[in-house]
Amino acid sequence: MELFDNLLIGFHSALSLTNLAFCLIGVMVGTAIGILPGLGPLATIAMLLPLTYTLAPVTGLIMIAGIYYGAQYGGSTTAILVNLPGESSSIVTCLDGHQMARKGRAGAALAIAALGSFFAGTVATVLIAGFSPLLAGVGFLFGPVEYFALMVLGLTAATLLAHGSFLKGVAMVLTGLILGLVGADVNSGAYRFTFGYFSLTEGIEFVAIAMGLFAFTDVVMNIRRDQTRDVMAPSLTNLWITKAEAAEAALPVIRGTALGAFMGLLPGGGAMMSSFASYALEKRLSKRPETFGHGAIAGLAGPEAANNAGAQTSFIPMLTLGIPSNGVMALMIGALMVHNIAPGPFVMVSNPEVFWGLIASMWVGNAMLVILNLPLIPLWIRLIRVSYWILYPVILTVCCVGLYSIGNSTLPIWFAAGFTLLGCLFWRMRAEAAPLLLGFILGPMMEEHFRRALLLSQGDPAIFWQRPMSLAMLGLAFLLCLLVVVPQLRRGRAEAFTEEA
Amino acid sequence: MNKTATGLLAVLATAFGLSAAHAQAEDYPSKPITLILPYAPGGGTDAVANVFADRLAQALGQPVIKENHPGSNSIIGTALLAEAEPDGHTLLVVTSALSINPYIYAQMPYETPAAFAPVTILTDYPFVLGIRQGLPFTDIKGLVDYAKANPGVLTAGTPGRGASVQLALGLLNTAAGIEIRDIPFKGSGESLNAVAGGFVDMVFSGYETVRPFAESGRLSMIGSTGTEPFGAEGLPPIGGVVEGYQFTTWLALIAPAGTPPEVVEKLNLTLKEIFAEPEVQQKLKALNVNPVVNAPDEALAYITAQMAFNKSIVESIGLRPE
Amino acid sequence: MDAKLNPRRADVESGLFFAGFGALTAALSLKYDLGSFAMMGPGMFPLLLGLCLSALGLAILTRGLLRAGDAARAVPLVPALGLTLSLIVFAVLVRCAGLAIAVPALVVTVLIPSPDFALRRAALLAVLLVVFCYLVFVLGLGVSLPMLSPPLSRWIGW
Repeated sequence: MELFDNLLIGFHSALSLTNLAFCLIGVMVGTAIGILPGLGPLATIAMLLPLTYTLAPVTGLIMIAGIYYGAQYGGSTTAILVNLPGESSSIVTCLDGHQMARKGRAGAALAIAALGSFFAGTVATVLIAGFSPLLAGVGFLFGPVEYFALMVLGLTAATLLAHGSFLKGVAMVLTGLILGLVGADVNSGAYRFTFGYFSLTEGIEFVAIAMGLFAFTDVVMNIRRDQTRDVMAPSLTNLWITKAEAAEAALPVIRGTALGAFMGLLPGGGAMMSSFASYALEKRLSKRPETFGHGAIAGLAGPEAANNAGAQTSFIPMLTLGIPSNGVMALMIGALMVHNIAPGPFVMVSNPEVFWGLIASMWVGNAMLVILNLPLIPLWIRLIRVSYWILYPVILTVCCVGLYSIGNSTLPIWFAAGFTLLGCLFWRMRAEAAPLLLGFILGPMMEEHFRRALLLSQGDPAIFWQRPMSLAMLGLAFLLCLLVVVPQLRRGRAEAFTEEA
Repeated sequence: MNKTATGLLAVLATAFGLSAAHAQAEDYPSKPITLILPYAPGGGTDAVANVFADRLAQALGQPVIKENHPGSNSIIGTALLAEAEPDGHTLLVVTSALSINPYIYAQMPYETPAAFAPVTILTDYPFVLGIRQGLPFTDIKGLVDYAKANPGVLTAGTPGRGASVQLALGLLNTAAGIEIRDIPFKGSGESLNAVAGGFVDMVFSGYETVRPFAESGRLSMIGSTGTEPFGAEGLPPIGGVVEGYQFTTWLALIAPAGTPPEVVEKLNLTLKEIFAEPEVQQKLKALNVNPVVNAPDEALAYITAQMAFNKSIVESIGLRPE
Repeated sequence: MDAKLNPRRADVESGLFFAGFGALTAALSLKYDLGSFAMMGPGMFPLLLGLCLSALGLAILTRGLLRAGDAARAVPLVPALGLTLSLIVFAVLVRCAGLAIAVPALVVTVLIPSPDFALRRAALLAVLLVVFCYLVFVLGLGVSLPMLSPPLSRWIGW
C-alpha cells in the first residue's frame, strides 16, 4: 500500500499541467534529435540544462528524462526507415526493421517498435517503482572479471547477428575490435594507431562508421536499384500490424523486456548490450532462424523492447544511490545539485515528490511517445515514398550536417566517406557490417576489463574461472559457439553450393 | 631631428596602442563569450562553471556559451583555447591537468604556461580517500601500517594515466614509503563503482562523488588530502599521519596568451565580485569546493608552482612523457 | 555477371582483406610496448587481435580457393564513387565556403550521375535543404555552422 501512496504522490506531481507540458516538450525534442543523425541526447541535454535551472527540480528532471527516452524512440524510426543506426542500441533495429520496411511493412515495423517500447517502458517503470532499492545493488556484483565475461558472451552473440558465414562474422567482429582500439589506451594512456593526429585520440566516431557502413552503403545500392524502379514502396493501405504479426511479436517483447530490464542495471553499456543479447536470444529460440536479417518480426520486437527497458532501468542506480550509470544520468545529478538536492539514497525520503514524480513521468512520457508516434507513421511512410532522387540527397545532407555537429569538425565526414567505400567492399564480399560495429563498441571495454582483471589478480588467469558468474557466462559463450559451429561443419559442404546470389 | 621623430612616433604608437587596448577593454565583451570546458558534460568542472557562468553573463551583459570539448585529459579543449583569438571572447575552465600534462605527453599542441593568460584560480579542493567495506583497518594510520606489512597487496582505482588522482596516490606511496597498486579505470565513476563492489580497495576522488556511496554504506571515507579536517564529517588530513602529505586540486579560468591585460583585469574583477556573493559562496560550499579568486599574476605564479610540484611527483612515480 | 565467372571470389577477396588487415595491425602494434601477461602493455592486445584476424583471413581464403564459397556481388561503381565524392565535396566546402555553398554542391555532385538529374530540380532541392538545415541545425539545435564562411562573406561584402 505504501507503493500505492507513493505512486499517488508521483502521479499527482507528474500530471500537473506544467510538468505535463515539459514532459511533452522533452519527448518531442528527444524524438527530433533521435531522428536527426549526429547530435545525441547527451549533447542536447547538456545544451538545454541551463534552461532547467529556472524550473522546479522535478520539472527539469522530467524534461531531461523525456529527451533521453524520446531519443530512443526517434532513433528506431531512422533505423527502420533509412537503415541508419544513430546510436549503438539501434544497430540491431536496422537488421530486421529496415528489411521489413523494404518489404513494404514499414508501418508495421514502426508500430511494433513503438508498442514494444511502450510495453517495456511500462514494465520497467513498475519495476523501478516497486523494486528500486532491491535492484540497485546488482551493478555492484559486476567487477572487471564479470564484465570481461559479459563482453565475451556479447561478442559471441554478435556473430549470431550475421546471417551469412560464421567465419566471416568472427572476422568482422575482430576487424571491429581492432578499429575500436584507435585512440588512447585506458590502462597505459598510450595513443595507439593515431598516426600523430590529436583528433584521433578519442577514437573513430561511432556515428561516422555506422553511417558509412549502413546508411550510405545502403543508399549506393538503392541508387542502382532506383534505375530499375525496384525501390521500397510501402503501401498506404495496410499500415497497421496484422494479427499474425502481433502474435509473432508478443513473446519476443516480453523476453526482451526481461533481458533489458536486468542488463540496464549494469553501468557501462548494459542497456546497449541488451538489444544485441535479445536479438541473439530470439534467433536461437526462433523456429525459423533463417528469416532473421530478412525482416523477422521477432528480430525487431525483442531488441526494441530490451533497448527501452534497459534505458529505463538504468535510472535505478541514479535514483536510489545517486550513482550515474551513463553521461545522461550524470547530467541529471548535476541538475539536482543545482537545486541543492544532494543525490543519494536519501532523496526518496527527503524529496519524495521529485523521486516519485520522475518515476510517474516516465510512464506518462512513454504513453505520450506512443500517442505521438503512431499518428506520425503515415506521415513517415509518405515521406519515404517520395522519389528516391529526392530522398537520398536529403539523407546525405542531413547526415553530413549531423556528422559535423558532433564536434564541430569535418573529420567524421571524411571517415564516413572512407567507411562508405569499405561498406561497398564488404557488401561485395558478403561480409555483414553489424558484427563489426558491435566489436567496435565492445572491443575497448573488453580489453580494458581483461587487463584490469589480470592487474588485480597479479597475472593469474585462474581469476576468470574462479568466480561463479564469470564461469557461467564464459561457459555459455562456449556453448553458444559450439551450437553455431557444429551444425555449420556438418552441413557446411552442402550449404556452400546452394548459397548462391 | 630624426631621433625626435622616431621618439615622437614611438610615443604616438604607444598612446594609440594603449587607447586601442582601452577601447577594447571598455567595449569588452562585444559579442557572446565562449566558455570551453575540456571535459564531458556532467562532471565537477561543469558544476562549478554552472555556478558562475550565468552570473558572469549578467554582469558583462553578453551571453556566456558553454561548450564541452572532452578528450585526452583536457588537451583537446585546451588546444582549442590556445588557437582562439586572444580577445577575451574565448575562455577555458581548466583543472590541474593543465599543470600535469606537459610531463605526461611528449607532443603537446601548446606550451604551458606560455600559451595562456591566466585570469584567476577559481576554486581549490582536496580529494577524499574512500575505502571499501571489509578491510582490516578503518583509519589512515591503520592503512599505512597494513600497507607497510603487506607491500603490493592493496589496490587503488585511478581514472587513468596522468590524472591528478594518480598523482595523489603516487605521492602517498612515496611519502609513506608504501606500495599501493594503481588500477587504471576510465573516469572516476567506474573506479568508485569498483570500490563499492569490493573489487578494488580504495579510491581518491572529489567529496561529492564519494558521498552517495558513503551514505549507502558501500564505502567509507577515512581521510582527505588537504591540511585541515574536511567536509561535514571532519575527515582527518592524511598529512596528520604521513608527514608532509598534501595534495590539492584546483580549477582555473584562463584566456589565450596575448589577451589584453585590461580585459583580463576586467574579467578578474567581475569574478571577484561574483564569488563574493553569498549565494555563490553557498553553492560552492554545497559542492565542497573552496572559492579562491586571486589576481592574474598570482594565478600564474600558482600554476607555475603547481607545475614544478606535479613534475616532481610524476618523476618520482616513474611516468615519462609519451 | 562477373560473379558467374568466378563463384569463389567473395571468399578469396574477403580472405585476402582480413589477412592483410590483420597482418598490418600486428605489424603496427609491434612499435608499442608489449608488456607481460600480468602487466600487459598497449601493444599486446592489438598484436593478438591482428594475428587472430590474419589466421582467420587465411582460413577464409583457403576455403574460397578449395571449393565454391560465396559468390561476390558487383558493386555499382558510379553511385559508390559519386556518393563518396559528394561527402568529400561537402567536407571541404563547409569550412571554407559555408553551409549555403556546401549543401548545393553536395546535392549536385550526388545527383549528376542520376538519370533523374535536371538542374532546376537539383537547384530547388538544394535551396529547400539549405533552409531546412538552417532552421533545424543552426537555429533549432544551435550548431555553430556559418551559412557563408567569414572570409567568403567578407569577400562578397567588399
